[in-house]
Amino acid sequence: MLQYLLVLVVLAIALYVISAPLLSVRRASAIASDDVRALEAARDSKLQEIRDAEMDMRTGKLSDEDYRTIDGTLRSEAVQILERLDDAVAHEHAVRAAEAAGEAPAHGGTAADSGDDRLRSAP
Amino acid sequence: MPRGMDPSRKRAIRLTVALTVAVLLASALIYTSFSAGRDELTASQLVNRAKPHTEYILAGTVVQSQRTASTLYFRVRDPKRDISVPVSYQGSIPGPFAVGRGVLVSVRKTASGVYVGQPGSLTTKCPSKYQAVAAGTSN
Amino acid sequence: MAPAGRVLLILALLCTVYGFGASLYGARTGAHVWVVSGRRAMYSLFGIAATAFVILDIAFVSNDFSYNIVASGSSTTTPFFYRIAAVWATQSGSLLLWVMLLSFWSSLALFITRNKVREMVPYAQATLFGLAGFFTALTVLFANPFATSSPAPAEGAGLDPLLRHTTMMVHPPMLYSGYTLMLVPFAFAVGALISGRVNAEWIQVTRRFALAAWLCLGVGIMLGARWSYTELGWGGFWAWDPVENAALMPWLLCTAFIHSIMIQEKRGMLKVWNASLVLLAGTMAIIGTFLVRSGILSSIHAFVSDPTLNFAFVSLIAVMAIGSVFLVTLRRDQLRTEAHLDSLFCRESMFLLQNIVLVALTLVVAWVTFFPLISEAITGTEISVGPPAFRPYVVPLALTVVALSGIGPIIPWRKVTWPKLRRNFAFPVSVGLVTLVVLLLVGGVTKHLLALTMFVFGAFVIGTIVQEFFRGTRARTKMAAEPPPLALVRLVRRNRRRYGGYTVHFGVAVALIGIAASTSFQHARRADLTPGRSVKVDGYTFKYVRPTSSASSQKLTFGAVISVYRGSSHVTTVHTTAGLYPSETSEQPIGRFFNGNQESRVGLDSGLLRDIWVVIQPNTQPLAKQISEGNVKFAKAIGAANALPAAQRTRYLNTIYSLRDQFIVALDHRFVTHPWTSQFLIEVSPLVAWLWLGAIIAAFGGLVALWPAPRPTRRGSRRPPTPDASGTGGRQPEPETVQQPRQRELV
Repeated sequence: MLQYLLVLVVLAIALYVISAPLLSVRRASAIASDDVRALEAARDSKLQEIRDAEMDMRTGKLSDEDYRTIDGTLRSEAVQILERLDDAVAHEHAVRAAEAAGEAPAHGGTAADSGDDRLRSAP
Repeated sequence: MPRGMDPSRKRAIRLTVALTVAVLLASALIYTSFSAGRDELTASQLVNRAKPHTEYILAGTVVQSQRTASTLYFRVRDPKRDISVPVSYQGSIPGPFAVGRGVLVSVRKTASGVYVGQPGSLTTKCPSKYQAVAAGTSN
Repeated sequence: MAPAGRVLLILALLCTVYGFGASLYGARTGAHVWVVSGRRAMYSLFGIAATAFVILDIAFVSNDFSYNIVASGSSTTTPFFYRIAAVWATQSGSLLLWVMLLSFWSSLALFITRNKVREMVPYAQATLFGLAGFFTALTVLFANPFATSSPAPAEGAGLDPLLRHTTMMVHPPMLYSGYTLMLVPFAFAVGALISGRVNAEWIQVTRRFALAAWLCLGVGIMLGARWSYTELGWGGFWAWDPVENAALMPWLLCTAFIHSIMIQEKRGMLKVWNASLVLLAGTMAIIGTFLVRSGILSSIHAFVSDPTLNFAFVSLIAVMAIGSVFLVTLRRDQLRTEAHLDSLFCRESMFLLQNIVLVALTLVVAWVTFFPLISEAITGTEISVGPPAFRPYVVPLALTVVALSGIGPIIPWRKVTWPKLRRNFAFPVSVGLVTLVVLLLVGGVTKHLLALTMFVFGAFVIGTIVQEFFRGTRARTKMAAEPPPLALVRLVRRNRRRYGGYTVHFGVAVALIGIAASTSFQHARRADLTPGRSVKVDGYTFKYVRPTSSASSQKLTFGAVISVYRGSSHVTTVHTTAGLYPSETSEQPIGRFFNGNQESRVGLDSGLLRDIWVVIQPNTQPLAKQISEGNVKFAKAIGAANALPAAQRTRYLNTIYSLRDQFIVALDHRFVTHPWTSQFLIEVSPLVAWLWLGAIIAAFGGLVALWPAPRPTRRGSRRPPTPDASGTGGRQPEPETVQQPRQRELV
């Protein structure tokens, strides 16, 4: 008897957990698109490279002159990434503003894509 | 490489050098494997193919075993056929060695037809974790 | 509860099928809610698998021998800890553990990435479900851990004595964790290739899983080596056995991967290489799992072959291999490199060279491992290549990796400043040269040139790492005006990946020095001794002081106390024993207690500079006559008792068994009262402890590198746009703004 009860409980929990997103009616989330995420990842990598270059200079691997050259290159690459990131973020905000105003859903979610808000902070 | 060479040409040269080194090393490894390797035979294969004074690796299951002070005598059975060969062995005997265990041992066939194990070559298969062992009675 | 367990496995399988379908449906239609549902199916799969695992473990702990695997792998006399762990000492139990671990790590990965990389996650999720579904299907269809027998036997077969070792109980879960963790970056690589998002994001989200896989596999390998050294009676920690190699190969590939991904993150290079490497590492993890349980290769570890499982595994491996090649070929245009190497002498080049060498090492190991099968396919005969034949390839490659692990940290990214380079090499090279001179003066090392080279290279690496820590601490001390100890802690804390990696390099160098020393300069001797006799090994005198014996319901033990002297000074006393367990198959009433499983307890004295290792191999031949007579007499008595009416039978049998036990104890005790010659294997090995110490240091370094950075330096949040008056819609590219993180966080 106990074992059947256990199976039923596990089955019920699994069904609830799995079906909850399909049955929820929450609003679409405001999570960043993959393009923005990719640019943020690129930004983070570039900033880390800048740090690493300074680290190399401070630990005596690079001369000041070589460091300035590399640092300048990295910073200009970082600026380009930041510009692209700004453009991507601005575009995304414009798209979401349009969605909120009731236009056709854009790439990245549907009206039924409603579970994510809740799922953002809870497994 | 000379300065001022086209970078793509430099890369092509580097790739060629790397591939050449790789091919040479691979060829050497293949040659070594076939020339320095030893045939791994079951009991039935050993009986049919073994030449005197040539070393082979015998693989099979121990079916009988007897120890004297200095020598271990045992028979190794073919995994698929009802053929076993006698081996006399002097050297380190692994702890797991027992009748019913799988073993690998390097042997040479003597002129008299006896298989002599090379000292230190006897290895025993570890206990079979994934083989169901028949549950024994308490007595 | 066995039926419940079986139903749970079926539910788990259904979960994987649903999750696979929902993920792909969500990906194809853009309805992300299905992907979310699929992710939750993975959480559910973990819950179901964990519940099934707990049911099974309870069966082991409570000695429920109606379960076939409990009857075959445990007994009432098996200690509690080993009963808990005996689950994964069986085929079906270990497959269930695989499913549980894979679903756990997958759940964690999917949870962490739930708001990221949306285009690739569904495909990664589907891949993980595919793999989980495969292993779950194995447990449902071919290797059911909940199979039962009726009536249940009164007693189980017990855990093989060789497996009753703490490290052997932890070794499988660590290896399985490594394999299953490796499948996370594998799945995300598949997702990246299918979705076309092949830049560095998939690496960034899964990098830690690759590092965790490396750590778990490495710890698992070391635990196996430690068990081999202390438990098996041959005195070694590595035999180049196919099953050992099965764990080594994915570990080597993972080592290459965690280095080469840095180049893709920084420079957008090696995209094809990284994708291929992680796909190969994931495939190799499955190959390793397959090798262990297939029995296709002769191995001292090989287990019973199951043709059905073999076919299933080979099919999965083929799908993974062919699919990987297809995907990389499909996306070859998008995998084009974004940059090229600026110079042959930069850290990127060193990493690339190290990668090539590690992959070459993996290929050599793979070739040697699978050569019996290859040769059988070509010549019709299995040919084995022993370690002496392939050592000339492995050792130089290993030496190259060690050298590069010392050179890489010295060389900066992108470009080298030559005067600085000469200065930076000065200290590590000096350490290496001093080591060389000292060793040449000590003498005896020139006979082993490869070992000598490893010592020198290892010292060079140690010198490099010490220099890096020193210079980094000094730089921070100057910048932040902190005392050196605090500066060191904060330096590591803010640069975990770098300094964790350096610590790993240090540990690996120490470990390889230990391996080179202990294998090249070991003194071993086999001796036949009676009590009071001595033998000399490497300047030590080993005296057989006295024999020992004991008998318990589980085993008979024969042992020896050995005193070790150097000159007239007493160095240590060790006690070695051999335990004989009753045979499960023999029917001899006395003989079966002397010809069953045997385990060795090594008499070990470990020191930083040398290990003294002694093992006894007792010979029970002197008892053969008494055993034979006992077999006849007790077999007769038992036969006569069995012929009695039931009312009297039990009483007579109990008396006979009691007498039998006394007889066996008396025989066992004869080893002490009438000792005979026993054979001993004695080894004196230098620097073995450095292997274990180096492994611990490397594992610690891996943990440091794995640990998330302190919160202020984490860059997880988006920066909101700040429209300016000019309407450009974004921030101006001002160097000062980029500079701020530098002032806050560097060094």
